[in-house]
Amino acid sequence: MAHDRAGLPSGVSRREFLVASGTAGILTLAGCTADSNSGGDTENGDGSGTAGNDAGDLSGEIRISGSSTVYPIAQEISRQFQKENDAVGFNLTRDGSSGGFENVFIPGDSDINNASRPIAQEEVEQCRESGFEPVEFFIAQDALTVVVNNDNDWVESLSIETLQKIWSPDSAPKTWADINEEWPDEPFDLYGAATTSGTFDYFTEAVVGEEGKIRDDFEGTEEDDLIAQGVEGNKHAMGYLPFAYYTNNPDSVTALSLSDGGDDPVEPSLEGAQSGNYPLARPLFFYANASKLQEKTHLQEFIRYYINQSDESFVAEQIGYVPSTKEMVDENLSNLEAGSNGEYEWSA
Amino acid sequence: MAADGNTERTLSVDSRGRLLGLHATLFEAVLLGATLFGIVSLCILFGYIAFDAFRPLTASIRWYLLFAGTLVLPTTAFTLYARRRPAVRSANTKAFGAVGGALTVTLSTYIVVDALSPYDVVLCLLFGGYLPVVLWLIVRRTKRTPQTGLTIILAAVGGLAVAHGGYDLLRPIVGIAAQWIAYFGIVTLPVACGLWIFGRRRWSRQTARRAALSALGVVLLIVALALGLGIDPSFWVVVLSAFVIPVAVVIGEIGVTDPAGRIGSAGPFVLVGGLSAFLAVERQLGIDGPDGYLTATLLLESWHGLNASSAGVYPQIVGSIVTVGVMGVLAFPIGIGGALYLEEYAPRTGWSGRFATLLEVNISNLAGVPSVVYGLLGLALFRNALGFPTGIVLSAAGTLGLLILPIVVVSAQEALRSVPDSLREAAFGMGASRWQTLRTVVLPEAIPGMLTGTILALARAIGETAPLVIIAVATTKYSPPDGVLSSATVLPLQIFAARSNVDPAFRHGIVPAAAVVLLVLLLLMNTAAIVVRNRFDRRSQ
Repeated sequence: MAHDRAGLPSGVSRREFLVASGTAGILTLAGCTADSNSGGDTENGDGSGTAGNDAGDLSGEIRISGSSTVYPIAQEISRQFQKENDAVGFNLTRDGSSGGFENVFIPGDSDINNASRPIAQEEVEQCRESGFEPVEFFIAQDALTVVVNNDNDWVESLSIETLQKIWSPDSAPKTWADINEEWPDEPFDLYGAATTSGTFDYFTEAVVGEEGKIRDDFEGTEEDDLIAQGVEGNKHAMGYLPFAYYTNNPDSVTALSLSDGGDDPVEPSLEGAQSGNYPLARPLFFYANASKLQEKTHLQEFIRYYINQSDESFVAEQIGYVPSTKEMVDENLSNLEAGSNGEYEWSA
Repeated sequence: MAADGNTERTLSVDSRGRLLGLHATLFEAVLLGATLFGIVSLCILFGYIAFDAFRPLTASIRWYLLFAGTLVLPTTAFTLYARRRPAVRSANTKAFGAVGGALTVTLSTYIVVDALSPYDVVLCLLFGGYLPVVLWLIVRRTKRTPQTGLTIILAAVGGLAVAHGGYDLLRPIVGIAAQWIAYFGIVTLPVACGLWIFGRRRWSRQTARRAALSALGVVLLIVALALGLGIDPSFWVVVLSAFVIPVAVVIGEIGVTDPAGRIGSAGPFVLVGGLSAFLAVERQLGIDGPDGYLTATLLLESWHGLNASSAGVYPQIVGSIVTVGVMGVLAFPIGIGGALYLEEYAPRTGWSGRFATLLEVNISNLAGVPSVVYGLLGLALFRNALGFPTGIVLSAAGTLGLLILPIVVVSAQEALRSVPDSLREAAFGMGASRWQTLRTVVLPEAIPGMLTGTILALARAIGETAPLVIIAVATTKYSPPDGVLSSATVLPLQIFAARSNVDPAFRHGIVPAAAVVLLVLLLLMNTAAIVVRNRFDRRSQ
């Protein structure tokens, strides 16, 4: 142990040094408390200056899960809200409507679940089993857009009945010629939403006629740009996308006009979705956990902000969805009141 | 020579030999092709990403001329000059290492401490760091026993427990002090102590003391100046203590002790000077640079889902660093401990020996298990069994920790195995116990290899996405995590989410730019691994 003994003298002065520096540190600490007070004051002043304009000092975490279709709206509004209330932390994930309900919202992990379809009866029951009521907010609409390749020169519009024939597992035509003899005798290449997606549920319900029923040889994905790329890459491909994706990437694929029954075909547009002329206009929702809504004031304030922003024009211009109407805002606000007081009960 | 020519002629005449030669050449060509295929396709891919991130075609010719004139030419000229002279080159490498290392340490320290709140960090450090060291010195002075290592561990654990238990009481007390005082305690005091210890070894005791005290003095002076000017001195305390002082010490030492290579320490300053000149002239003349996506906004702001030019990934970068840091703290002691046991202590014979072999085989297999499976494991363990909220730093770090644990164990085992047995036998022969052999002979030899392996494991973890998706870590957050129990998001997840943004500017601009940021983080870690290894290698020689 010569090693230790040799090191001993150094230990002595090391200790001296530490004691000295510790004393110096304590002295500086003591000496600077006056400065720190003034520093603290200015900080507080800044804080109240930025947060003072609305509901005061909100803080806490808000967890938003669910649909990747509604995600851009939630993302933009949470960003705006966070700017005004910087003590509120957001935590956003994209799980798909069903994925979000099943894995995150129903177990009680998230405060809000986005959905591009209405909540299902059994999901409501599961929520109740885990001890809370889901509060529904209908905030926007989307025009689901059916797209084909840019080189596709044989089809410009389709009726919902034809679409059903193409996508239904009962008919499942192999080639375009199976539907119409003038069309090329080439196989379909179909791209659509993944089964965890609310878009999938909506499309199967609205087009095929039964939720979850679809031919099994299409390519399903949560990522819109993979659908666009797939359609872009094959002359005989077909797929469906949120309108927002299509308007931001109008050159990559061509949208089809759709007709329902004997009506004239309607081009996908926000106006068409709003007026109800476009057959594949679908509602977008988010659902809040009612017991968390009662507990957390910052969650109530965020949802109030969300509802009040959802009829602004940026929803249409920048995100690409149909904004809330006045009636939807009023309805949502009354749902919020009922949810915050614990009086809300979901009904189909 | 003559004999060689002779053999060659005989072989070339022989047709079988010629055929064999052809085989060999073909084989070599195939190998070369395989090598080039991988490298070239990777280069093309990275080039593509970098092209999208920087958009070099949008810059004017003048910008490139300026860039070449102020940055590229002087740096290249200096490097070429330094390369010819070994002394200058080694000083240049050292200076660059000091500047780069200090810069990395400074920025990551400031970013992480700022995110976690400096008061909490200083509280932990006070009870878990300073107090045990003081206690250890006292015990060492009074008892004169060699068993002092245990004291420091016990004191650190005890101190942390006290800090945790009395948090509600202690935190307001610590909170009275100004923020810069906390940074002073976190960065300046350890740097001064380090300088003093380093100085005692290199210089005289008096010089060391003077250096440490003057470092403290300089920092306090700058603080006074900043307070006088009404600037918050926190950041400058960190920069001065963790960057300026260490760099000044290293470069000053080169200047004094190495007159032949002295000029080499100017290397980093040529680069920095060129950069500042470049930025100054660019701003002065209003030259348009490339309109790329890798901007200060991307690095320093938080996410914006609609406008690519104001989207930033600061919370994601901090989240990645914090998560990987916590993961390292969790996984390394366990992994290295396991490797030490398996290599040095585990029995080799009998039933227990067979059990140890079984363990070893299993660990090697675990290293190859897909990361998604570890995600499920993390979900089951942290969410379902322990009931943690989803997406917090601790569960993300724990899941990644489980993922890299086998890699850490295997690489640490390799490092231990590379220590020749003759060294161990010699130590045993001198009468050293197993623990003494391990501590004084085996570990110093094995540490470089262990560190390299573990840092590479860190680099693997920082890019993981799949397990984090499974445990529902957030894709978007607007603020960095403020503790191990707060939720965090990491860079790969935001890249994944941004890839499906409807705006093409995100998919073809922000995504590659964020990927470049991730690659740079990764490269920094690998560089750190190499530097650390070289440093330890040199010391052990």
